[in-house]
Amino acid sequence: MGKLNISYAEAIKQIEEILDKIESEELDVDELSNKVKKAADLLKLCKMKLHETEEDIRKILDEMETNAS
Amino acid sequence: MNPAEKHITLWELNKEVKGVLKNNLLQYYWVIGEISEIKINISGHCYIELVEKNEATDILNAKARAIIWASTLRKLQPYFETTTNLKLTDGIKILVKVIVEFHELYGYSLNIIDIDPTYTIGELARKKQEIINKLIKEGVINMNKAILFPLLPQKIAVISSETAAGFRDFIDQVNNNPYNYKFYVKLFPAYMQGEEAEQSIITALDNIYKYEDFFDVVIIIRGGGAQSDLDCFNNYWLAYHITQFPIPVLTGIGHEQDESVVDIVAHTQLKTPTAVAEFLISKFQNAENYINELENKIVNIYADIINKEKSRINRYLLVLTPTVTKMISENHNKLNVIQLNILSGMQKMMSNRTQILNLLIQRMKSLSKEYIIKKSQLFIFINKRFNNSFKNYFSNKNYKLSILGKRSHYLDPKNVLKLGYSITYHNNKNIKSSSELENDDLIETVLYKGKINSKVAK
Repeated sequence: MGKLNISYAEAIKQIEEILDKIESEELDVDELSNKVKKAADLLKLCKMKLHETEEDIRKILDEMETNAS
Repeated sequence: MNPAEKHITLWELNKEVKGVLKNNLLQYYWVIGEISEIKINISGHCYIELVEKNEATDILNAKARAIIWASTLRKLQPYFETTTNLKLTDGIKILVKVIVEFHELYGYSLNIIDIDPTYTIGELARKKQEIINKLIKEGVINMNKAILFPLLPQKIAVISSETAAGFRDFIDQVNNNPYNYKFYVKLFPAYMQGEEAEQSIITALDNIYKYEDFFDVVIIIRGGGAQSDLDCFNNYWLAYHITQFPIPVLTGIGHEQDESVVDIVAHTQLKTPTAVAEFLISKFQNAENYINELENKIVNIYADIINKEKSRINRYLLVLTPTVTKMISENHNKLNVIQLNILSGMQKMMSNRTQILNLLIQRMKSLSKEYIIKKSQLFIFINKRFNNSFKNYFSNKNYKLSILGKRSHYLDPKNVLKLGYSITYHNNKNIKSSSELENDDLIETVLYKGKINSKVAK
């Protein structure tokens, strides 16, 4: 599963959805394992967004610079 | 014109007017006027053009020159500025105590000797309240506040002046925050005071709007300054633009006393650029805490569920194992019985089949024998007959052949000659009839032994 570059808000939303599903106890053990893995990836992504520079964002900002001048 | 009427000089006329004014006017008046122009020249005297505008139309109603002499100005100006926190500039309305003067040369003017700063304060407050009321009436005053603040206010559009101390402080704080949070900041420079401020900030907002999908928040910041400099933030159009803006706008413009209209319409107002930085950082902390909370919840519930499943499996195991073992051995036995049955059944079948097969073989053998014998006999019979026929045929042929042989033996000219016959040739042709010969023909007669040459004498 490729890592999409989704927004922070979108990632949080997905994590909350997964949490809801898990809490509702509708999932069987295989699905559960998949969802938890996905949640782990998403959590990692969120933490990364908090602390690390993302190239795409830097690029857009640089473009703004060149567009303005 | 009647030359007999008295005429006076201009000076005399002006003096007359001056007298009339002096006699008929009060010593002083408190009057409200708006400063339309204000100049302080080298001498220290302050020259003001006071006007009165129709508020609705902005058209001038009245106008007068006013003067504050340097000595008076030295008292009034600091008094006014410290009380109001404003400078004496054009555009503000003032309540001043004036003496009406009419000078023969300089004409009508007002000599300002005192000022009531509270009027100006009240005026500004009134105007400000008017603007606020208008925004409320238009239903827009809370529109920017209603926008959902982003979970992570990370991409920040800053409206400020590059040289403003506030801006540099802000950048410093967010880029060097102790939590290693990452912020993206882009400056959209603007004038943060004076007449140009309104349009300049609106232009900056327009530029940010082009990237409305990119930025999370807009912040308007400036370092502290005199209160009057904040007047541009009480402007209607600027405030209106902010209410209409699709991204939350935060302010940190350093007001000392009252909040400005821009502060009021902003999504969140903070006192200073530093406070804005702290606010944003705290939002990041909230986000981080929330992430950790989610993570813990998931981990705990997951561990819970896994443990539940583990117990469940163990329970099943306890029940299943003996049952399954029993089942397996029962089936094992069944299988063995079936196996034996099959084996014996098969053996029986095999021996049956073998018997049948043997019988068939026997029959085949005997039938074959019979058949062969019959055929042999037939063959012998035919053979015999054939031999006989063949023998007969050959003996017939032999007989015929021997007869033919005998005949040919007798017919052989040599054997015929032997018997005393002879062959007569004439011109190498054998003669069979005497008619073929003439007298005197030469003939050759071949005997069994030798030849005779003769002449025919018929």
